[in-house]
Amino acid sequence: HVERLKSLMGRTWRITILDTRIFVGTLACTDKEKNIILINADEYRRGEARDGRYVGMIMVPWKWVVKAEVD
Amino acid sequence: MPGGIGFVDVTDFLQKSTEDMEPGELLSMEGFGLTDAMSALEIMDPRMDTGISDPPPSFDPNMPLLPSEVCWMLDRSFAYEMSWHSGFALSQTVYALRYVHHLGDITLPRFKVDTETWFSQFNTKNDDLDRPLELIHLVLRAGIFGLLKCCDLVWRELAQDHLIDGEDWSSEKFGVSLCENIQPEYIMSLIEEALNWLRQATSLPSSPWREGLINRLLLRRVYIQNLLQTLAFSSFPALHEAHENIMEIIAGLTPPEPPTAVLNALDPNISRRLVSFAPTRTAILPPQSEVWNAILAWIEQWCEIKQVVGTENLWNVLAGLRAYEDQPLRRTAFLRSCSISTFFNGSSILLTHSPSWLIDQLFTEIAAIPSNILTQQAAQFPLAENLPVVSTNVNSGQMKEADCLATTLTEDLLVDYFVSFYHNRPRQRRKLVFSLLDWHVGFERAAQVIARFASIPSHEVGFALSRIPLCIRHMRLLIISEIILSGFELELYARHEWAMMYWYLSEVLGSQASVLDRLQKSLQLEDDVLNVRNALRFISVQQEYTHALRDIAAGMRDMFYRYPPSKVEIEPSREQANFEKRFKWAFIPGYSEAATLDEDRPILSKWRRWRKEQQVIPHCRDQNTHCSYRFI
Repeated sequence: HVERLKSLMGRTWRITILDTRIFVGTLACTDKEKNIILINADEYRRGEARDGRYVGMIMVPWKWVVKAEVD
Repeated sequence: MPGGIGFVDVTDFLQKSTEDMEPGELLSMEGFGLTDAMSALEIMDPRMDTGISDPPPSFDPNMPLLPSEVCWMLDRSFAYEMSWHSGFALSQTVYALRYVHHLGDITLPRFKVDTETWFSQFNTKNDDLDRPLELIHLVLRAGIFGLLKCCDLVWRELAQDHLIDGEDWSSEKFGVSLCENIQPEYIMSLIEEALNWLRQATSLPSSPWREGLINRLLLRRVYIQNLLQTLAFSSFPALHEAHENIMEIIAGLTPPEPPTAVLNALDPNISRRLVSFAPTRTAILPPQSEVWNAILAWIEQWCEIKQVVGTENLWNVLAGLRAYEDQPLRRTAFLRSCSISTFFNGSSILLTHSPSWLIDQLFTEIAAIPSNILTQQAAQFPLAENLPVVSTNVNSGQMKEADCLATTLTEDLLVDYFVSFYHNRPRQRRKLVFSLLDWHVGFERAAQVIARFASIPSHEVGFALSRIPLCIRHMRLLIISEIILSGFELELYARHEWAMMYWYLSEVLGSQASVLDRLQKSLQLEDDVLNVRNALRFISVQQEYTHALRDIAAGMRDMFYRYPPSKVEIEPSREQANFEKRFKWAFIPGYSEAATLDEDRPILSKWRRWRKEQQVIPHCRDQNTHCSYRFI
C-alpha cells in the first residue's frame, strides 16, 4: 500500500475539507498522520461561480479532510 | 466540480496505506524535502489560512437603490480610498466595496434597439420610481470607475519609489484591476454622462439627494483632473473648485445608514477571497467627517506643494513640510511622494532651479555668502606655498576640490536633508543619523579648502569664506537636535535615559548658540546690504529659538535628574556600553579616520562630570531625591 501511495505522489489531488472548501493541487508529501501537503494549489468554494484562488503550497491536517481524490 | 471529472475517491485507501508507515516517516515526491514542507501554509490555522471565514452574504450589484443609498455608497468609496492612503492594503479598503468586482455587471447599455420596429428603447425596466436603475448604471458606475482611476493614478506616482512599499504604502493589487488600461478621459465622460442625467432626469424624483450626488461626482471629477495635471502647471482654480465641492458636501445632508441588503455591498473580509498570502486584519473605516477633513487636508497640501514650485526662498520650503503632522490621514504617502518629486526630480530643485542653487541659497540665507564664492576664489588665487599641493596644476586642483565639496554638499547632503522630512519619522531619523558623518567630513573639507587660499583680496571675501564651515556646522547641529527630539517622539529612550538625552540636547543647543554668535559677529563686520540684513534677521530668530529650546532642555534635564522616572541602578561598566549603544552614530570608524575632531559628539565623561557637579548643589542632597547612578 505504501508503494502504491508513493506512486501517487506528484499527481493532481482534490481535497475537500469540513468547511466545504476544495483544494486542487499536486501532492508533494504526506506522513503517517496523513497530513497532506499540496503544491501549486487552488482553493475553490462551493456555491461560488468564480474561478479558484491560487494559494500555493498548503498543508491540510487530516482532521479537516472530508474527501481525498486523485486524478 | 473544480478540477473536472476523472477524480477517484481514495480517502479510505489513504487511511489504510499510511498505517503501514513508520512514525516520523515522510512520503514525498522527488526533490521535495522536510525543509520545503516547513514553509507550507496550514489550512484552518487562522494565522496562515486566509480563506477561513463565513461566506459573504449574497449581493446583487444591479439591486435598485435609493438616491440616499447611492450617496452613502459614494461616501464609502471616498472613505475606503482615504484608508488606503493612510497605509492599509487595497484588499482591506478599496476592494471591500464589492461593486469594484462587478463593474461589468453594472455597465449595461442604456438603450437597446427593437429589431421589429427598429426603435431604440431603454434597456432596463424598473417599476420602482424611487429607485431608478440609472442611479446604478450611470451614477454609481461613474463613481466606482472614478475611484479606481484615482487609485490607479496615485499608484503610478507611488511606484516611482520615492517612498517605501510595505512601509509607507501598500502596492499589492491582489490580481484586481485598477482600470489601468482605461483612459482617464473615458472615465471623465462617464462622470459627465451621469451628471447630465442627474441634472435633467425626470425619472429621478425631486429629491434632496440630487445635489448631494452631483457634488460627489463633481468632487471625483476634479480629483481626477488634479491627479492628471503635472505639478509644473498651476491648477489653483481646480483645487479651489475641489475645496468648494467638499464644503458643499459637508454642509449638505448626511446619508443615513442603509438597510442590511445594501450593506451587503461591503465585504470587509474580501482579502480572504483574493490571491493573498498573509491574513490581513479587517480595517475599520474612519468616521466620514474625518474622511472629508482628510480630503480637505489633501487639497491644502496640494496647494502648498504647488506654491513652493519656483520659490526663491529655501526656508519657505521647510515651513511647509508638515513633517510633524501626527494624523496619518493628513500626511498621506501620495502627497509626500509628490513633494519629493517636486523638490528634486533628479535634475532640478523645485522644478525650477539647478542643484547648485541649493547650496548657494543655503549659504546666502544663513550667512550672506555670495554665490559660487568657492569656485570663483579657487579660480583666481594660488595656494599658500607651505601647504601640500593637490595636483600639478595648482588652480585646477583647487577648483576640483571646491567643485567636489559643493557637489557633495548639494546632492549628497542637502537634497537628502530636505527629502528626509517627507519620509515617515522613523525612516527620517535613520536617514539623518546616517548623514552625520558625511556632514562632518563636509565641514572638514570646507575648512581645508578655505585654508589653502594663499591670499584673500578683501576682508569681505575673507569673512564670507570663513563663514562657510560655520554654516555647515550649523546644519549639522540642527540635524543632531532633530535626531534627539525625534527619539523622544518615537519613544526610543528608556526612562532612565531621559535626563542624559536632555543633557546632551542642551549641550548641542549651547554649541548651536555659539555658532550663531560667531556668524552674527562676522556679519556685523560686513557692509550693510540687503543680503547681510536678511541673514542677520535669520540668525536673530534662530538665536531666540535656540536659547528658548536650550532653556527647556536644561529644565527637563534638571527635572528628570532630580526626579528620575525610573529607579534603575546602572553600573559604570554597563553605563559605558549603554552610552555607546545609544549614540552609536558617534562611534563609527569614519570619525576616527577624519583629521578633524568632532566637537559636537556626545562624551560620557562630560555627562558624568555634570552629574558630579549636581551632587554639590543643595537640592540634590535632599533626602527625597533618588539619583539612579553610582558615581565614579
